[in-house]
Amino acid sequence: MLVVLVSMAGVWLEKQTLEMRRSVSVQYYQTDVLLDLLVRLRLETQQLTAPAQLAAMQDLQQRKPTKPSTKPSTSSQRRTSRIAERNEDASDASESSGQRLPLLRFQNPFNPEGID
Amino acid sequence: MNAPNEDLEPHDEMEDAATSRASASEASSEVDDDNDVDTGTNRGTDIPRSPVVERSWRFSLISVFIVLGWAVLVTRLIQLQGAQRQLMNDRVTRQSIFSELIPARPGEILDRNGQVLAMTIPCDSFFAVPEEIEDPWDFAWQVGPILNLNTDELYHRIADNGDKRFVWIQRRISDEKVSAIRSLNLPKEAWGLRREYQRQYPQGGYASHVLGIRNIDNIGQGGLEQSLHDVIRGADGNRVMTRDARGKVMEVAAERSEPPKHGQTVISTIDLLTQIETERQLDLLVEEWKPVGACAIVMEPHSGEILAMASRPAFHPDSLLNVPDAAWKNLSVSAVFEPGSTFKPFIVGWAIQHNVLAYDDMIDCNFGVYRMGPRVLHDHHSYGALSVEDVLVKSSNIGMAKIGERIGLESLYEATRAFGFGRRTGVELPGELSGLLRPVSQWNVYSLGSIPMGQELAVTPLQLITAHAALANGGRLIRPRLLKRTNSSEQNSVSDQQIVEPGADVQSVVLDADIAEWLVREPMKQVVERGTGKSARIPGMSMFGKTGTAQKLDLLTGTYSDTAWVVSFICGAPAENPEVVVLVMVDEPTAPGIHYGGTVTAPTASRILKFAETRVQNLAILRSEPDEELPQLQ
Repeated sequence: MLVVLVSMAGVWLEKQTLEMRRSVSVQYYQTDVLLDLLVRLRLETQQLTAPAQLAAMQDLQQRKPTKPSTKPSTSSQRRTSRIAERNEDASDASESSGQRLPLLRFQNPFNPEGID
Repeated sequence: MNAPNEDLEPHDEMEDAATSRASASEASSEVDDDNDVDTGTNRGTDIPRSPVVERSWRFSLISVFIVLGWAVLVTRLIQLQGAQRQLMNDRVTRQSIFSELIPARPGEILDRNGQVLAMTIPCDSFFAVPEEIEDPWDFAWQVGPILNLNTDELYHRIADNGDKRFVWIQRRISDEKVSAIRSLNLPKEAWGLRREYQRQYPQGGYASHVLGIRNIDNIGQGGLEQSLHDVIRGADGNRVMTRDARGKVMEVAAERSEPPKHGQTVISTIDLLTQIETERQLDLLVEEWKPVGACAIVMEPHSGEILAMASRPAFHPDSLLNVPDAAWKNLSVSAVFEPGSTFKPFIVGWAIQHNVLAYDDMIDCNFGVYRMGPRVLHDHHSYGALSVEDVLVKSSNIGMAKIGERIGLESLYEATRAFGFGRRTGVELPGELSGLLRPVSQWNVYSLGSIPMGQELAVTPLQLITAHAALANGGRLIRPRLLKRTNSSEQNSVSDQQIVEPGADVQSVVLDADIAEWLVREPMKQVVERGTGKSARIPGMSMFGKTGTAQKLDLLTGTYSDTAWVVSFICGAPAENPEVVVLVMVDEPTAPGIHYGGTVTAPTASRILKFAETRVQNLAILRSEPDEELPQLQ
C-alpha cells in the first residue's frame, strides 16, 4: 500500500514537473510574440513621429482657409464652390505630404487597423 | 492393450481435480517412500505412474521455458542498453529532440539623435510542399487570389515541382494574407510559413543612398547596410526542443539552445532634420535646373562627421521596382569630375605654406590673355595686377597658372596628394572612387597651368568637401565619417546591444592653421561678399565659399564641351570658426540659364548652410548623445 502511494505521488510530481516545463517553454514563445509586438509598436511610433510627417501635419494645420472673393449667388454656385475648395485642399495636402512621406497609420501594410 | 498411462490423461485429471488433489495428498508419502525402490522393479508392468510425478515433469518444463524467456528478455535488455545503447539513444534523440533556426534580427540604423532610419520587423513567408498537394489546381485556385498571384502560373509552379518538398510561393506577406490563408484550412502538410525579417524605413526614403537596402535574403546592398553588413546582420541561433509522440513541443531545452546574436545598432552621424532639408533643397534644384545628376553633402569640419548626404536621382527603399540604373549611384562618392575653381584655394594655401607666395603678393594677370608655352590661357574678365586674395575672389585662371609656375610640377603633385585627392577618403560607404590623379611623370607643361585651376584631375564630391573641411578646421585633413563616435559603448549604449565604433581617423596636417584661417576668413569669405559666390550671401551670417564651374569632356571630339558643365559650390559658416561645411555639385544642368556654380548651386548651398548652421547652434547636436531608451531586442 505504501509503495503504491509513493508511486502515485511520484507520478503526480512527474506530471507537475512536466507541466512546469511546458509553461516555461511557452514563455519562450510568448517572449518572441511580445518582442515582435514591441518592434511593430516602435515602428508605428517612429512613423507617426517622423519629422517629415509632423511637418506635413503642421503645414496642414497652419493652412488658413481662403475666403472666396465674391459670394456665390445661387445655391448651385455655393455647392460648386465648396466642392472646388475641398478638391483644392485635398490636392494641397497630397502635394505637401509628397511621395516621400513615411507610411501613415492607415497605410501600414502590415497592420492597417493598428496594433490590436 | 492399453498403455499404462492412458488413465492419466490430463483432461481426466482436470475433471477429477478434487479427487486427484485428495488422493495425491494421501498417497504422496507412500509414493515418495517407494519410488526409488519400485522404479526399477515395476518397469514393464501395468502399474500406472503417479500423477505427482507427471506434474513435476511439466513443472520443470514450464520453469525451463520461463527461465529461458527471462534469459531472452535479459539478453535483449543487455543488448539494447549495453551493446546498442548509443544507437538507441541516437534514435530516441532523433525522434524526440529537434531544433529550429532562430534568425538574428538585423540591427537598427539611427541618426545621431536616436531617430530610427532603418529597422526590422518580423513577417511570414509562405511556402508549399508540392509533393503533399493532391490537387495543385485546387490549391492554386484557393491561394492565388489571396496572394494576388496568377492562378495559372501558380498551378504550373506547383505542378512542375510535384516531386519537391519546398517551393516558395510568396515571401514576406502581410498579416492579413496570413490570416486569409489560415482560414482556407488547407492540409497542414501541404504548406507552411517561415519567419523572416523585413527592413522598414520609418522616416520614408530619406538618406537612401547612405543607408542602402537589405535584399530579400537579408544581405546588405549599398550604403551602410553593405559596408557594415557583418555587424548589422548578427548571428543566427537555434532552439532545441523535445516533443512527444504526437509531435507537440514538451520542453525547450534552454541549456542546449543557442540564442541568436541580434545585429548591432548603428548610430550614424546623419542628422535627420538636416538630411530632410538637404534633400528638399536638392529636389527644388533638380526641378529648376533639370540636371543629369546632383548631390549635396553637409559636414562638420572638425570631426569629419557627415550630417547629411543626398544624391539625385534617388530611389525609395520601399519601392525598388523600376528603379533606373542611375538612381542606384551615390554621386557623393562615385561621381568623378574636374573640380574647377573650387580647387584653387588648396594651391594658394600650399604656395604660401612653402614660401613661394606671400599674402600680400600681387599677381599680374596680363589683362585676360597669357601664353604659357604653346598654350594661351584666358580669364573670364580682363584683370591687371591682382592681389592673392583677389585671384581667388575673382577666380582668375591666369593668376592661378602663375602661382602654379612658382610651385612647380613636383610640388603641385605633392599638394594634390596631401589634400587627399587620388585616393579614397575611407568613409564607411561601398563603391567609393579614388578620383583620377595621374602620376606626375605623365604631367607636362599644360599641367602646370591646368592643375592650379582644377583641371587635369578628377575628384569625388566627398574628396572635395573633405579637403575644404581641412581648410575650415585649421589645416587638418580628417577622414569623413558616417558612424558616430562613442567614447564607451557601454556608457553611451542606446540598448543592450553593442554600438559599433568607427575606425580611427586618418589625420594629417596639410596646412598651418594661420594659413588655413586666412584662406577661409579672407579670400573665401570675400568670394561670397563680392566675388563669384555673391548669390549665396546670407544677410547677417558670416560665411565663406568658393564656386566651381568645369567643362565636361566631350567624348565624341575628345575636347572640352561648350555646353555640358559640372558646377559646384562649397561654403561654410561661420567664417571665424566654421562649424558646418556644405557642398552642392550639379552634373550637367540642362534647363535654360547661365550654368555657373554661382548661379546654379550657390543659392541652394547657402539655404542648406543656413538651416544646418541654425540647427547646430540651437540644438548643439554635435555634442549630444542619443538618450532614447531602446528596447532590448536580445
